[in-house]
Amino acid sequence: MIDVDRKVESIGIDIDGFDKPFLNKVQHNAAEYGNIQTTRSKNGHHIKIDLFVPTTLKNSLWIRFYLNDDPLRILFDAMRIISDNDNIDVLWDEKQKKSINGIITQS
Amino acid sequence: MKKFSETNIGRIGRFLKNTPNKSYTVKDISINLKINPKSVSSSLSRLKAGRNKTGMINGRKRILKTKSGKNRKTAYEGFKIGTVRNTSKGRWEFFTKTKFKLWKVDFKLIETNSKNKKKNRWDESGNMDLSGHATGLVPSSVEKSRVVGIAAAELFRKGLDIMQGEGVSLWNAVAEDDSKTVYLGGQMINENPLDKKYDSRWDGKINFVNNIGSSYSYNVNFEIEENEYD
Repeated sequence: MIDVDRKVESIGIDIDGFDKPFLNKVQHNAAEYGNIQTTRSKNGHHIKIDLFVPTTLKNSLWIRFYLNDDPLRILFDAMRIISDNDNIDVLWDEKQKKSINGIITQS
Repeated sequence: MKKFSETNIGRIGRFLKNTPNKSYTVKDISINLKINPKSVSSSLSRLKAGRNKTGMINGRKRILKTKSGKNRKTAYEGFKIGTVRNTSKGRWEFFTKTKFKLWKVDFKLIETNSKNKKKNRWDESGNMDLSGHATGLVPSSVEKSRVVGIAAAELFRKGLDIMQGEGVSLWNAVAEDDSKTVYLGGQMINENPLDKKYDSRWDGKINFVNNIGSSYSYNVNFEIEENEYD
């Protein structure tokens, strides 16, 4: 399993949908943790947070949960940690639900 | 003595300069720096175009004009006109030229399923296919022919290694310098990648179609040191 106490310097949040007040709330909450950079995605927005204070990989998952990141993505990353796959953040990658089955089978 | 606080233009300029070639929306900057979005927008326009140049005309301070009647502009210190720019609608960045460019190289064994098999085939079965592509950083000064000659050729060799590992031996059947059987190519895909340091690693994929038409895909990675382009 990957070391969950390892430090990460940035976090990605995936916001599906185009609900402006919701996006606004997430952006403001995210800005408490670091400098944000928002980009449009196919189904909504991606927010990249360059953390003011690097945190542990374990905490980063909780922060993402608090900031309403896509739950499927958090699950996907948790599975990657368990299966010892070092490529942790899938914000910019293609998400495929069927891949989770593959990871569960591997681990 | 009165203390002057840093201006919004200074704060925004410094923020963008600290993360060159990274684009932000007006709202991002507004939230990050806790500045009103209207002020952000106006400051960015000023940083982009510079400020009006003033001078004494007939004993009065006036905005200086160009011959065509437009206001003469002078850049803010450290922000040469054109360095702060909007990349796409609503996104702003501090532009600096980078030392590296992102390239994509590819190779392909010439079509083997064409009608003219005698001319094109590289295997007895006649309908197999092998191609691959990879992306990586290359120093800015390197020319295309050199990128292809070094990176694409290395990708091709790695491709043959992978196929060898899969039980398909092609090393004796093809030669990388034979343009009749192997196509090697490359194109620059990003002039200003975010990477600050040279990364010798190239990542890509090899695609293989076997003699009964089944497709296989393999990840490939290899390293090319910066001095190999010298």
